[in-house]
Amino acid sequence: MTGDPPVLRSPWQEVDDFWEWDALARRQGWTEGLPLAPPTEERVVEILARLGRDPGESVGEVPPLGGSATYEQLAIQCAMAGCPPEFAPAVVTAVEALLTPSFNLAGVQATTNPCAPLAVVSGPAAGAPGFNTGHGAFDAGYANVSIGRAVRLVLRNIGGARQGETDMATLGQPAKFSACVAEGRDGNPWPPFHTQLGLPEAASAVTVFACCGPYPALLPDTAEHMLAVLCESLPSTAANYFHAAGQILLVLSPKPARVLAEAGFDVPSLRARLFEQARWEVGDLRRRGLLGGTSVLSTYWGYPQLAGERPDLDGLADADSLPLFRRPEDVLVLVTGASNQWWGALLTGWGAYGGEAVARELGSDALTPGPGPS
Amino acid sequence: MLDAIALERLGVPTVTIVGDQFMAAARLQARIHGHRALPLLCEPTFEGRSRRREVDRFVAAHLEDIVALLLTPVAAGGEGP
Repeated sequence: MTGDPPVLRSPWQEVDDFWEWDALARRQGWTEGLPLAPPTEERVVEILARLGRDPGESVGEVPPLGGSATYEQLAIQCAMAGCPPEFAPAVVTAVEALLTPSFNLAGVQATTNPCAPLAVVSGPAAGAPGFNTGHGAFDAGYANVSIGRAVRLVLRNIGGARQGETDMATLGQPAKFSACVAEGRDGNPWPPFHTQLGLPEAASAVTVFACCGPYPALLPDTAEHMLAVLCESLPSTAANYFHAAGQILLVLSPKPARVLAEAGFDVPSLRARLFEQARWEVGDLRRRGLLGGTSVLSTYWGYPQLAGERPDLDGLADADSLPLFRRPEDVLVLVTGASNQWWGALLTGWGAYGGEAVARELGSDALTPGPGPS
Repeated sequence: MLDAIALERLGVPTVTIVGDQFMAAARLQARIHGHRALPLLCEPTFEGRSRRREVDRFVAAHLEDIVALLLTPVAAGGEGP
């Protein structure tokens, strides 16, 4: 992009006040209910200047309807989300990750499952002003909320996700308003989250993972107690990983993470322990009539793409056990939240259908405020 | 859906089997992608995740419909959004 002001190509409309804008946005379906900030030309240009890209350049087509995610359109969604210029690079990086073919965004957007893409910011960028990694890390913070909201508006307004039309989620979930969390940097005993997905430790990153809302896990006292609670809690036949495997995000606040680390656990050994010990007992499933149902959805790893990995259910002994996941690495571990209590959370994925975690690198200074108003 | 649209554009006839709960979304997607008349066959219980033998059973039961759709030229205007 040159130093000249960018030429915007999107149609524009003048409104007299906020409420006229609000009515227009609702009439056009640009919002699912929450008010949007008006995307003024000045604000859109300011965001584009921060992104430093040609407004007409596209990151890709966003499914299911294939709208082109031009930088101009991305900037407009950021502006409507109240996402300031300094956080816009995280939105672009999240969209790039969402468009990775293996993520199957078309499926994530359309599924009846309530999963929604969660953006996880990690590394030095997660320390930028505006990120909340303390109390309410999942529900507050200017950066968290505005980045998550902008990503959602991209999915809605560029991708065409509309409830009951293309987004067929039976119930949905509140994360479909905004879903972004930042990794805690203080009190995290382990390397940054994105190293679990192959990115360098020194990097900053945005990871996307399609998941359901946080299910709380109270993890008090000792490492062994925490592990016992997790191993007892994880085997849920209501979660998609019963019939479709996939991934899960285990979130630990710093206090239980520290206790686990002091007991000698790192992320690989924690995953290995959970993979080996959090299992369904075959005899228990049989007694409850839950092992092999009449449909794909009620059968352990009944999803057809897992046929090569599913054991012969008839040949199992009651004493045998069944893994929740295909491999230990399917348990993702994130540390964030307030440091003074024992809480953790479990966020289940969509299964092998898609939405599995994809991490993309972000410049370490990408999210710091630049010169000029923001 | 997108594979079917791509094949149709290459002149290869297709029929896309769609679960009933996704029919409206499929029609909209086909229209937005410029192929309003993309042949779709509704399966009330398909849900996009049926076992192979269930798919085979459905196809066998609807073979005539599938063949008829494959042999029906896409209606004029099918390329328009």
